[in-house]
Amino acid sequence: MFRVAVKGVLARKLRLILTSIAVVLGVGFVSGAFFLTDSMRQSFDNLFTQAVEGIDVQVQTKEYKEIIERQATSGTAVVSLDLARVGMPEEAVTRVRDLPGVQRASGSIFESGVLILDKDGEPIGTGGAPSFGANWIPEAADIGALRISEGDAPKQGEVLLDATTIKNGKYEVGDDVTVLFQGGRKTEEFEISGVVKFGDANNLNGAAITVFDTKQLQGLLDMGDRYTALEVQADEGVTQTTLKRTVAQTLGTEYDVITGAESAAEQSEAIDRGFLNILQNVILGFAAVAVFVGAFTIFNTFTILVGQRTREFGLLRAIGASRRQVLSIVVLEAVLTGIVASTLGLLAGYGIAGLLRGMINSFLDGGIPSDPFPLTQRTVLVSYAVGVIVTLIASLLPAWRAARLSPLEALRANPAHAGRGWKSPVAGSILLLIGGALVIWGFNPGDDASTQTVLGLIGGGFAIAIVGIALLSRLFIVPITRVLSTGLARGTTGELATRNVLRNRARSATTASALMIGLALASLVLVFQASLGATVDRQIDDILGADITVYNSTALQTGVGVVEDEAVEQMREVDGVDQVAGQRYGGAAIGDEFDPGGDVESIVAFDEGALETDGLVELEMDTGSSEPGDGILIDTDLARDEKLGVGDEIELAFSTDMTRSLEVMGVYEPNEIVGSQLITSIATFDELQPENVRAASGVFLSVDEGVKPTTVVERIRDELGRDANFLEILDTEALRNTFNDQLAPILGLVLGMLSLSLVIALFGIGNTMALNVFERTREIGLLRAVGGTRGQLRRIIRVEAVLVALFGAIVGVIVGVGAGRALIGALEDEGFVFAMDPITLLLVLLGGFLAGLLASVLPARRAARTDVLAAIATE
Amino acid sequence: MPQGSVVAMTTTTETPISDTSAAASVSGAVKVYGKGNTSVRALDGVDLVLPRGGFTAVMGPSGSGKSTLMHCMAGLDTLTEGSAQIGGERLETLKDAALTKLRRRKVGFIFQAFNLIQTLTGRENIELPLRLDGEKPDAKWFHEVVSRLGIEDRLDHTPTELSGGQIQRVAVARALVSRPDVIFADEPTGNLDTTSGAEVLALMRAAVDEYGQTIVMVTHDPNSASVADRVLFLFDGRIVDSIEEPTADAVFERMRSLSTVRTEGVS
Repeated sequence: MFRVAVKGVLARKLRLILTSIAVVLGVGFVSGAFFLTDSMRQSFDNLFTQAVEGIDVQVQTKEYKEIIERQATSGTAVVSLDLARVGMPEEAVTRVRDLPGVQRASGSIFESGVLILDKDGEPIGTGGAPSFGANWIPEAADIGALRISEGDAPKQGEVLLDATTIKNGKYEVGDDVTVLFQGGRKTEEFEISGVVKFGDANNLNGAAITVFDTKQLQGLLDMGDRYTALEVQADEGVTQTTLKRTVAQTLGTEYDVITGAESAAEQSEAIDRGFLNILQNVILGFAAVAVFVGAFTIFNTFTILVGQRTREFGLLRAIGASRRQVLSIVVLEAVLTGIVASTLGLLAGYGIAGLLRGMINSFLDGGIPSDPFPLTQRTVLVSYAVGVIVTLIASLLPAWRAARLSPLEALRANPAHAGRGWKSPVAGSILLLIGGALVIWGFNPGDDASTQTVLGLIGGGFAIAIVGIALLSRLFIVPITRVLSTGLARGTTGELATRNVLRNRARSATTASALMIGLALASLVLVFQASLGATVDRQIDDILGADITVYNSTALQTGVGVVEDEAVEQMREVDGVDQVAGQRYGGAAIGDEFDPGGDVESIVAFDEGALETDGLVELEMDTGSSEPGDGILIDTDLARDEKLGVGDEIELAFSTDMTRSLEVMGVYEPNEIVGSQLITSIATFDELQPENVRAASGVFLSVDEGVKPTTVVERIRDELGRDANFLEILDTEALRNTFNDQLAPILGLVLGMLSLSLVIALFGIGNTMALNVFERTREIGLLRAVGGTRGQLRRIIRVEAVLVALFGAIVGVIVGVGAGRALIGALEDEGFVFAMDPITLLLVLLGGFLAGLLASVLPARRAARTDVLAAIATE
Repeated sequence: MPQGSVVAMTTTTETPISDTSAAASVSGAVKVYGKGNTSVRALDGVDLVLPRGGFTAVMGPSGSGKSTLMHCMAGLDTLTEGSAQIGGERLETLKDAALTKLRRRKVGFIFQAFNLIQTLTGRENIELPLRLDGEKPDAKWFHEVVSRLGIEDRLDHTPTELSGGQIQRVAVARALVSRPDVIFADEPTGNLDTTSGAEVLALMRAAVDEYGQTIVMVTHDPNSASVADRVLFLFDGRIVDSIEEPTADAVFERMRSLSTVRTEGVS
């Protein structure tokens, strides 16, 4: 049977290649995801290995490390970092320096949030990457990762800038430069004493790095005589582990002591668990969609191919082949197809990885370096597994159908007719229900469900529901196609095309389904975008009473970005400003212990007047007062979870090691502008929070009646001068746009990734059309004989493809909008509002139309070129 | 079987090709397939005029060139040498699009199998050549044809719901409804049982007699051929013989003698 299968595959090379394209692209997406993330992992690993050059043992205080890790995992900086308290003390450095086996012990500082301004006073962008400040360690000059490539080591009042920042800021050695600390709380002028490189690289994988004199940096970061870490170099002959033991014994349990190698591994692992893992899973998610779409296409192709060969199988059965043998021929062919396609897919993965890198770089300013893509065993195994298994599964049903027929039935079979009756809609309804139930379960998973379980439930449920919809959709193909054809498929050719679509509804519906999946997801994303936009609008219109919002634009790079009280006072004086209120933002733990590694809630405070009726933030009270006074306001969610009401006391602990019991003065409805479940007065906040958050994280302003907010924005800018450079001063319209601008690149990336599944669907339609043309050779010959021109034949195929594609697009948009409606419905508690943009949805339909047109080009040409004589020849 | 209609017939080259009384004709028709040593001369100098209102049967053993002759006369294939005309139009001067339109308007076809488009009803199949031309059938003529063929009540059925004989009758109706200059029938009864076959042949005969339709039919079967006004015998790409007002027995005898010639020729 193996020989028969091999010959079967080889005899249909072209069709095999067409079929394989779906698998090739799907597998290529999977392997591409691995190629890209492996490559990024490798470049990070190199970076971290370089970073510990000349460092055998690294020490940090446990407390500092916990806070840093928490910031990295939560992505927010609700815990403020008091380096003077949690940093590495000088005394520990001295103690380690005197230990046996220690060649060098140096305190090092490496902190984010140090921004370089360009000559116009604007922060030099890093495309979202952090911006680090480090101290210059003279004794490590020749062995550490930081190397001076030009100029001299920094003295007091001098800095080294990395090569990329020098270039982007158009600076030269010897120029003066302004540096911002703590989100603008401090500004200093420096002279550029030289250029620093990180190993051989111009900067730290996109992150900027500025090097200072140690004492000066300690002063600027308010860290006393502390450091962020202690790096130790061993004497020759002393191993890292020995040194680690010695240092750990000396310093005690307050300190986290690791070897250089462990440090590199730890950082690699952190980025692996965090960013890279997320990226990999996101891309694999889209790859799964592509593979799923591919499976539809393969299923369809195998069904058609097996159908066309039913007579051949009948003959095999007649001459003595068993059912098993017929089944094994089809399965073997599928496996061979899967292997060939997986191999090509693996190769295609290189191209797709490059494409993905380009997309991420252009949409998200990712700055992923153009490193080579490493081929790992895992990538190879997964690619082949996915390719072969998907092809196999997609071919099983057709294979079983082929084997089931008796020899005589098979010999008499007419491939063009395959009605499936009532079974499909019933099966479709059941699958839709199961899928829907799984998705609902996924949205309400219970407390102990892991993220993977949730994603598995939602993703799996969606996939099952889609198969159900695909089966159900053939119920609607007749009315929808009829309606479409009255507009698009006029005349005899149009009628013939319409009949062709409807002659095998199952086939047309399955073909359309491949396109439907991609377009459903695209519509879902577009509906989600429109809803998000509407939600933001509602928040701005309903909850935000302010006309102008101000916040520190460096917050993203520095973790904490504030607007100084002085700046707030200056704004108050600007002509046309009515009310002004700042919002402070900090962290607190419920209970009597503040553990930076544990649960930390955000806590906010507003300047007086902000929360009053018709104030700048419209707080809707459930019970009690809207003024916290000496107590606190909590939202209804927290009140329910902690079983608290007005008059009860809530105990809070803060990063300053203070704890306080506060009386609940009021309970408010959750509010997106407040963005926190806890509100205190400014006085309470400042008393309990560390110094560096005792300033506004955002400022709300209203303008006098009759004054244009844009005019006031300009006046504020003039008033604040250079300080306005790192502040975002936005009227409501600009604020709206900021949200949209943040969303747009992600949307672009998502739609870009979905487009690959659309390409697969397009090939699927083209493939089915080509097989249809092949199957209808005689009919096409007859049409040509009785007077159908080549142009008319082309038109029939073109209209047929467009009708199928549009059917898929319409079902896709309906499913996508429906799913979007359900999703937004589930998020209504979070304040989401449903909205959709008919224009973008029409564009999706237009995309479907064009996909059909494009897919029909080659099959239409083939139909037009049909040799009439060969087609009509009897047998 | 011949109903005594006047048959004007000639196989000589004297008849001018522009003879407008002829529905279709070829002169000096040569068709060569392939090149060099492997080339086959499927037609080797055929001259044939089909008079209007005549029913001609073409017979010959397999490979004698009868299908090629029909394809070249009908504008489905092109001649290597010589010329062909239908209704006064020279085929060799026409490009594909023009040939297609000529087939639509001046030619009718009845094939052995796969005569109808599966997705179209009987009526739609009959109207197809006219519809492809953007025309509508003459309602009176349409009604006349379908009632004469006895398929009035089968018009809304698709081919899968029709018997073999009904399918061939629909094909005859399609060929008649556009009033073509000539109808080419390729083994029209080859797939039918004897009774249905005889019915279809009788209807084709009636089309010639009652409507003056010109028909050429390629067949293997002497009984079928005897329905025609004359039978031409093709051998090795040449017309080697003909019988006027044939009987089945005469045709059978002539075919047998042709086979003998061939067998002797080979040995």
